[in-house]
Parts: sequence; C-alpha cells; structure tokens
Amino acid sequence: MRNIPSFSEIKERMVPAMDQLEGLRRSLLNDAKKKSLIYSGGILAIAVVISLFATSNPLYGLLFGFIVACIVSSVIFNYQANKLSPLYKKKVIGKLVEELIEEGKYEPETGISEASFNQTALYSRPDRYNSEDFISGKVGKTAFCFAEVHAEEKQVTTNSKGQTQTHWVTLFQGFMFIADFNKDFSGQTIIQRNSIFKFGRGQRVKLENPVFEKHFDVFSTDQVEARYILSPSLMEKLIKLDELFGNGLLVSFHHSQIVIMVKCTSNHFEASLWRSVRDIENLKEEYATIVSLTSIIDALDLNTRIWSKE
Amino acid sequence: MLKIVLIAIGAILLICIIIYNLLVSKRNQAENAFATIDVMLKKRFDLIPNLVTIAKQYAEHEKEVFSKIAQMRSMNYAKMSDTDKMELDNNFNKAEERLLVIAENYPELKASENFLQLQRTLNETEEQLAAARRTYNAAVTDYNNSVQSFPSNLIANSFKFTRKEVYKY
Repeated sequence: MRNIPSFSEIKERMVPAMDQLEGLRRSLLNDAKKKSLIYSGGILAIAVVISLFATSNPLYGLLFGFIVACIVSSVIFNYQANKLSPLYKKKVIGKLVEELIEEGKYEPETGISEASFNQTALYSRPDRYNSEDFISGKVGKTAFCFAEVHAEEKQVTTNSKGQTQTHWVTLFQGFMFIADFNKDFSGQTIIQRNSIFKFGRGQRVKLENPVFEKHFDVFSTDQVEARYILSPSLMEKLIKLDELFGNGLLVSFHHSQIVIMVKCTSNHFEASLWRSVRDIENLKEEYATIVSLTSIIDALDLNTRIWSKE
Repeated sequence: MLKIVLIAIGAILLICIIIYNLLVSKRNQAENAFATIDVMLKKRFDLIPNLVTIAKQYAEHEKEVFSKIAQMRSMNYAKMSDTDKMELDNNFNKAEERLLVIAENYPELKASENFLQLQRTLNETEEQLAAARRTYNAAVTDYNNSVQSFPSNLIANSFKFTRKEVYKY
C-alpha cells in the first residue's frame, strides 16, 4: 500500500501557487467588472436614447438593449475566465498531480481517444464525444491514466405535425480510468450493470458470487478467460469498489488492461472567476477525486504480480 | 377440430425438439469445459521436470515425494486414465506444497531466478486451472438445472441425459 500525502500536507505545499493565482483572479475579475460596466452601460444608454426617439413602443427597444448588454457582459466574463483557467490547470492541478502521483503528468487539453472509448464495448457509438484533463502516472508497477469523458448520442424525434426535434442524450459522463492489468489475456470481458435483459457483446458468463451477480452481468469472448480474470477475490474487490463509487461502475477488460467507467456529472479541474483560488473546499474536492481514482489500483491489488506477467 | 389437434401436436413436437437440442448443447458445453481442464492439467504436467530439477538439489531427504511425480512424468499423458490423472493431480499438489516449504528453509533457493520463474508459472497455471474448473462447474450446474427442472426433465429422462457431478477441489 503506497503512502498518500495527507490533505493538510498537500495544502501546505499548494499555498504559494494558489496565492499567486488568487491575485491574478482578482485583477481579472475587477477588469471584467469594469469592462462589463462600460460596454453594457453604453449599450443600455444607446438603447434608451434610440427607443425614446426612434421607435413607437420604447419597451421593445429597451428589452433588446438589455438582452444585448447581458450577452456582451457574459462574453467579457468568459473571456477573462478563459485567461485564468489554463493557468489554474497548469499551476494548481498540475502541481497537485505531481505531488500525488509517481511520474504524474497532467495534460489538460488532451483526452482519451474516441476509439479507446468504443473499444470498451460498454456503450453504443457516440455521435458527439469530448474528452479532456488527461492524467497519467504509476502506482508501484502499475501504469495508469484517466480523463474526463462526455459521450452523447443524437436522438431525433418527430411530433404529430411532422416537425423534427434533435435531443442529445448522454451515454456516459465522468472519468474513464485505464490501468495495466496484472494478468495477460487476449480476449475481451465486460462487466455491465445487472439487467433483466441479458444482452452484451460475447457470451454471458454466470459467476459463482451471488452478490456480484446481483450487481453485474458479465459477457466475454472466452468463458475460461473471464473466470481467469475475475477470480473470486477480484469479484469481492469489485463489489467493494462499486460501493465506494456509489454503485455505478462499468468495467471492460481488453488488451491486458482494465478500463473502469466512473460516472460523475460535475466538471472537475476548472477555475471560476467568482470563486477564490484559495478555496480550500474546492482543493479538497480535487484532491479527493485524484486520490480516489488512483486508489483503484490498491483496491484491486493490481500491483500483485505473482503470475507470469511482470 | 382436426386442424387444432394437428397444430397442438406440431407445437408440442417443436417444443420437444427445442428442449432436446438445448440439452445436447448444454451437455456439449460441459464436456468442452471438462476438456479445457484437461488442457490445463497437461500444461501443469509439462512443468514437472522444472519442479523436480529445482527441488532435488535441495531436498535430498524428500526424494520420495518428487520421485513419484518424476515417475509419472515419464508416462504418456494422452494415454493416462482419469484415475492416473487424479493421482498425478494429488501428487503434484503435494510436491508443490513441499517445494514451498523447502524454499522457506533455503533463502538462496527462494531468491533464485529459476525458482521465482517456476513459482510465477505455477501460480499462472493454478489460476488458469481454477478458472477452467469454475467454468466446468458453471456449465455442469446449468446442464443439471435443465436435466432436473420441468418440463425439460421429461425429455432428459426419455433420452438418458443424466446428472453430472461438479468438480470438487
């Protein structure tokens, strides 16, 4: 079991970087407020003048001016926030990753490829795919990486009048975690949530653990290989891990790797102009996210290398 | 009326055929799973020379355990009876246990590259063997459920599909 630095230790080490950025955030926020006041105020003043002299109904002109002023304000605030975000990711999250992970590397603009997402065979192919905040490193002998993923499917519905509407339905939103597995295998085994309809890629694998069977359905290209991977002890560990992450895990084993899909609806590792960079609760949340994801390796005992794979 | 009777007979016949085919498929799955265990046992059988070579340097006084399996290694695996294979299985387990005990007493053996490599290979084979046995037991349970539950038990009894024993290990 590795030694994870406690939050108070990490907090101490993070303070200089956070203080530095807090000054920048304040100046960006003040800048945004000033610019917003000047531009939006100007637009509103013009709208008042025009609506008084040029239109028959002044209310429409005022309303239009108000909407334009709001849009301009939001563009200004977004523009300023976009200046802060990359620096926050680089200086705060980057440092946090370095402190917590051996050979830790954080690439905010990079993600896990759509091809890798499709290879898990856990979801249908997405129509819109986005992945960012790629973190990689090692825990003992086990190399791993994870990133935020949002995969959506397009659904078009037609109403009784023949009008079509497009909806985007989320297939998966959260963290995709990939780690080197401690046994070699050549096929694919997937663990889906238990469902009345037993459909999945490959043959259904019925396992002996009744609690595991109650939570999951397993499908594999090879019955024996699925049981070789899912030893009785790994099944127990996966049940515990699933409880820890709120009973929503999906798992795929392929290319001698384990892929775990951890659902999460909030966008992590982002800065806000309105929130202090020194906000300890926020740092605590990011710390907990990284620690809980990297703890998967210990929880599943992936550093135990007693089989032929070293 | 005749039409209804004919349709009913046809439907019953169809159900019987489906159940019969299902039973055959499940029996074949169990037999196939058993064959996989045999493949894994053969893999383990092939490890005997390594185990004996490493062990005999350190276990002069425990020759008997290792000479037994060495003797069995000289037999042709394909021609071995199920009883021979079970005996081999038992002897192999004993020899493996002894080797681990010996390694505890000889640090140089425990640290040697050959021993570590053998231990990894043994662990690997054991894990695969366990997976094969579990697969066999799952297939047998599935087959036995069909043989014993209604209405497939009617077809099973008529065509002598008998219950299979699960692998005890």
